[in-house]
Amino acid sequence: MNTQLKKGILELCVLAVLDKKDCYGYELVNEISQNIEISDGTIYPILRRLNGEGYFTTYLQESQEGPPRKYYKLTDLGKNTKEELLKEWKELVSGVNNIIKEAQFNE
Amino acid sequence: MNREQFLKTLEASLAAFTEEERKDILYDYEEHIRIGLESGKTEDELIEELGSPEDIARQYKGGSDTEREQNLYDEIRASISNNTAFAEEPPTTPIYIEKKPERNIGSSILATLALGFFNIVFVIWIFVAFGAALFGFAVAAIAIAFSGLVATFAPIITPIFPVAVSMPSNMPYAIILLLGIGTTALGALFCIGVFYLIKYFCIITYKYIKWNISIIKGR
Repeated sequence: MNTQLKKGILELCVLAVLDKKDCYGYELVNEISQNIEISDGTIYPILRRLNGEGYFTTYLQESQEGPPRKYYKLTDLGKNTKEELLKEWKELVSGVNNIIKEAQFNE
Repeated sequence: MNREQFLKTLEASLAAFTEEERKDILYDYEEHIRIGLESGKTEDELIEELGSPEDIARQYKGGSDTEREQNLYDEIRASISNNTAFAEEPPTTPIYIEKKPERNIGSSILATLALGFFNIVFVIWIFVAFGAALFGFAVAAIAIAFSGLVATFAPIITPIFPVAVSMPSNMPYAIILLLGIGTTALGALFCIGVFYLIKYFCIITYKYIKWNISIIKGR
């Protein structure tokens, strides 16, 4: 897959997961890598970049199991961006589906 | 690679960053591995799933893919700058580097299971039935051609295999010869027909298998 495209999709995935609830990194990575075949390590650079863009804030929270965990929380800017990306994604998918359907029909 | 080696390599690959940034980045991986271990995964598994630290570091070093592709394009252009026509051409098409295709393993497994089920319940019996029928046809065709040949050469074969082959005494050889040639021709035609049937059978089987593989690969 084109990496630029993949990056955009992963950004949407990260924002979508965080829109549901605040997550710590491991949780977020698990959620995504369960569904998409990627190296876990590719998520953290995206997290850092999106954090730099101000899409979310981080806070530390104690856990029962051990030391505190770094949680990511979506900002309003992040929420808006997610909605935009989602809209683009839906358009792209329906467009691609149309093309594929026609191509299969003509085969 | 163990935890220490992974973090060391990553740290070394992030030399371009300030001390603070590096610590910040490494923290995420330390926490990831820590929580992963707490949730019951092994160190090896976690490191394996994270991927190569060099690749990870590269992703932090900015330089978006388009930039990298543009750089690659410039490099290629520079290396063949003698060719003026190419050198003056504006970089309209970015150069895409072939990447390993990635697919959703879940849907692939589902497709494999569904196909496997369909194949076992349905397709395999059709395959066996057609295969058996074709085999029967082939045997019959060869037998007919063979019996025709035997009849044609009856006067030569009879003395060699007196028990297996005998000429009817009340029939002149000319008639047996004509019958033999006719039967041989019929058998040969039958053989040709069966050959084509088997050929199409193989082609269809091949196409079906290819289609199966393409479904499993999810393309």
